[in-house]
Amino acid sequence: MLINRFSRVLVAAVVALTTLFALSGLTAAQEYGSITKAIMQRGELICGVNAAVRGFGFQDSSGEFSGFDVDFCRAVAAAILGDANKVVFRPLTAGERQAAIQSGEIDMMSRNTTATLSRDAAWGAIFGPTLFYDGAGVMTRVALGVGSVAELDGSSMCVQSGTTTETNISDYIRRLGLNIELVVFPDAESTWDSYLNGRCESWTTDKSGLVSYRASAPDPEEHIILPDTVSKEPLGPLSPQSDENLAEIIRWVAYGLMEAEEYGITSQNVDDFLQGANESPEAYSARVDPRIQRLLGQNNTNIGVNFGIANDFMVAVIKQVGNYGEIYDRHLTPLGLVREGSFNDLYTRGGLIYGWPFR
Amino acid sequence: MEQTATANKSSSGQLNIPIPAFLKDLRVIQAIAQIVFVILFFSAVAVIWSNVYASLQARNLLPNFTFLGVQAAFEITESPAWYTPNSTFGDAFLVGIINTLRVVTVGLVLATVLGVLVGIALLSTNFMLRTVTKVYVEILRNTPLLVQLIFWYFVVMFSLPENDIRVPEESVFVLSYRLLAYVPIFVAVWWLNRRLKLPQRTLSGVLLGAIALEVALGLLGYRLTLIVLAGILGAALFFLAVRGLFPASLRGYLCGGGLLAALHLAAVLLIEGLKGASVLPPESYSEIMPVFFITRKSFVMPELAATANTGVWLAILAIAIVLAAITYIWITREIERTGRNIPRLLLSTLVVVLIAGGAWVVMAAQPDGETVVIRGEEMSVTEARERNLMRIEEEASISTHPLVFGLPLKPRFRFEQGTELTPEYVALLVGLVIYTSAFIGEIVRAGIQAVPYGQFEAARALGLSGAQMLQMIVLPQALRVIIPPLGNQYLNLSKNSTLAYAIAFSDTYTVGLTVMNQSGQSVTGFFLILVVYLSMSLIIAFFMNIVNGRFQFKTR
Ligand SMILES: N[C@@H](CCC(=O)N[C@@H](CS)C(=O)NCC(=O)O)C(=O)O
Repeated sequence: MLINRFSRVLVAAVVALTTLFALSGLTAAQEYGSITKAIMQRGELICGVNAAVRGFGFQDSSGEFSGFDVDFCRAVAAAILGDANKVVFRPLTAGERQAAIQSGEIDMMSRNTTATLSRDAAWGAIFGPTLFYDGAGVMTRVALGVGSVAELDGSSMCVQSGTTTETNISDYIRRLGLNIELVVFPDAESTWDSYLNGRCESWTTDKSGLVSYRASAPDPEEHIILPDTVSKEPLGPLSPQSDENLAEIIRWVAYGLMEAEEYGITSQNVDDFLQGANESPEAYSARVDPRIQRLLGQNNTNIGVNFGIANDFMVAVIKQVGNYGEIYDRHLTPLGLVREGSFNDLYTRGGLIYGWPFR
Repeated sequence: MEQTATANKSSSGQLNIPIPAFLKDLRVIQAIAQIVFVILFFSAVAVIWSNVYASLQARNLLPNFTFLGVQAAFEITESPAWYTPNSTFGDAFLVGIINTLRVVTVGLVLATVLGVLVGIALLSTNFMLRTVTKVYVEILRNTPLLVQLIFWYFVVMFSLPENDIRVPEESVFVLSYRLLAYVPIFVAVWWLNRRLKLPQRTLSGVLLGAIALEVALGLLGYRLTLIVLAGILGAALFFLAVRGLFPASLRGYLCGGGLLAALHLAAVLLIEGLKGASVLPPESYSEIMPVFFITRKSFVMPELAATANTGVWLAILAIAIVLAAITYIWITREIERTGRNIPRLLLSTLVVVLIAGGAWVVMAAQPDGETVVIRGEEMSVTEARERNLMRIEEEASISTHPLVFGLPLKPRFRFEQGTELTPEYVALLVGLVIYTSAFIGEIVRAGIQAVPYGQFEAARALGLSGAQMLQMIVLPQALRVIIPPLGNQYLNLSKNSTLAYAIAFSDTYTVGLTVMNQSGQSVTGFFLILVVYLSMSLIIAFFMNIVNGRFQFKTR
């Protein structure tokens, strides 16, 4: 009896003490530059990408990753490590993204991810610039003879869980007062399969995703993308909140790609804009626009060192990956995503792609 | 005192520290060990927790439960009418729990029933049945459940008929009068087999005959000539076999197959006759009764709706059941007193049927209402019927029947009337039940085999019938062995239900993941999921312990 009571009191005391001790003894080692330093030490950037959406992030049968989002990871690796190939890709489904960024398993993510207020708050992440302006859409079978989402009233729609689409389509259905059954699948492959097999009359995701999936349908002509735009989906990269430094690098690599396109610097001609070994500052300035000098970190301009990386980081990026337009043309134009007249054209041509100045 | 101290020194040799007597007490040593263990355990928990806490704090993501009151804003495929995207994350969780319970409770019952049948079939003296069941068990036990679920959903469900049917004009399924006739046929054969001395394996012959007939009709289409020919040939085979014409190994099969074909012909002639007398609808689809629809989008059954008389009728039903129970108890006393064998179950069932059925007939005989309100507009029932506006709610509002049935209706994409099961639910249920039944079957087989053979012999020597032997001698002893591992299988089934995630069924785990994803509260979300499954396991274990206690040997 006595021993029993005694041991209980003891246990309670011990637990309280250890908890207190452990709590006070721990300081989170999260400071400016911590992840960037870890990347440099490791010599590799761990980047979360999509493996299932052709053109954005796709893993082919030989295990190679390719796509618009994938190339952005390469650009960041080129900026930090000088080599666009030093990337380890981590394929993530929509539902796995949050845990991957919260737990620090990945250094950054570039995976057709929409920036939203609740994600900004809840994921513990910093969202970078929008690289692709998108909107959720709905695909259905031509045979149904349907011209808009409203005409799908009473039907079923397949959607992937863990996406903004899942909530955006609910909002849209509520707004239009429709009765549509949503069938929720854990990954893109099963969502698509179930739509193809007739479980749902339609399926919804970002329009870019719809275009990409339609291209892989047995008969693409059987499917149409309805004109409705369900939501705004600004897609861009993100990185953990615990390292502001990495977020800044990501942001400026993104703007650098846009600036490079604006000034007409490509992977082919970037060398022409560099300062020659014996070229005097005066001669170089007479030849090359000062804005370009700064973008490329030439002529004693102070660019990359602000973030602890090479001053001419954009040279490596452009040489190895290309500018924004080159990346777009490489991956998205072949899918049939027309750039002219879309939000994703340069602001000089009426779009929203507008890089901040390298000043 | 000094003497003991020196004794200590001399015996131990090197060590000189006297160990206090109470430390040599085994209970004290055990207590200390426990305390040390508890300290280590809680320290580990505290370290892990504080790590998690610190990193969550750094991201401004401290776990809390306030998010449960926030608007969920997402739709759940399978949810009660009260759940909308305006409901909260807490409501969404609740929907997940309800769905889990729907699968687990129904699954436990079905898996037990099927498992017992499998177990009995494994012990069957019929070679074919025993072998087929063994193969069934081995295949199911040796492939991963996830693979089986994916198969049930993405292969089986997606090979069901497409959804582009019009109802009620076209129907996909299945429940024809002819197929229904197999039920009385099988009962009749079973009864004949008990009364007459039919050759061995007649029952197998009947099953094989039915399969062969259905395959032939499936391949050639529904042909009356074929049915008539098979029936006449079957009748001939049956009589020859009963006379002992064929070799003994074939006799049973031919006898059973022949009997089936003959009875099937009789049933078809009866159905055709009823159609001729327009008791059954004569149109082309009368072979198929559009009641139960299976498409790859849903499984639809007629819907039941309550009317103004439902409450009264249910009260009468309750009274009838009480009366039946009293009858049962009273007859039992009579049997014990007089030793006569009175069919108590039959008589008490009859009490319920007569009272409740009588009440139904009386209520149904009252005239129905004559006007009905449809979308706020009052009109006569005849007019509403003509304009095809009567749905089950309207029928229920005018009917005097205790309950009304609504046949499935499908205006365009989805069924509007009728009780629906989603293919996700069906695939998960079928997958879990079939998988678990293989394990339960093995447990039942082992349990029955654990009863000493002498017990069977003793039962037979007492002159007990097969059913009596099973009920009074074998089962009470077998259940002692069966129940503890059965409880484990129940726990397995309830936890395996989380694989719902792979096939889009909205159970606790699937909805929980969505909640975590949309709210950002992973730690709290996982904690809640854990609590749900832990409680479910504890409840199942609790009940299985009670049941177990009742079946163990009573010892003092
Ligand atoms: N932009 C949306 C949707 C992105 C998304 O995950 N889309 C799906 C459908 S195209 C996808 O990429 N799935 C691939 C996978 O989960 O493997 C979001 O950030 O939530």
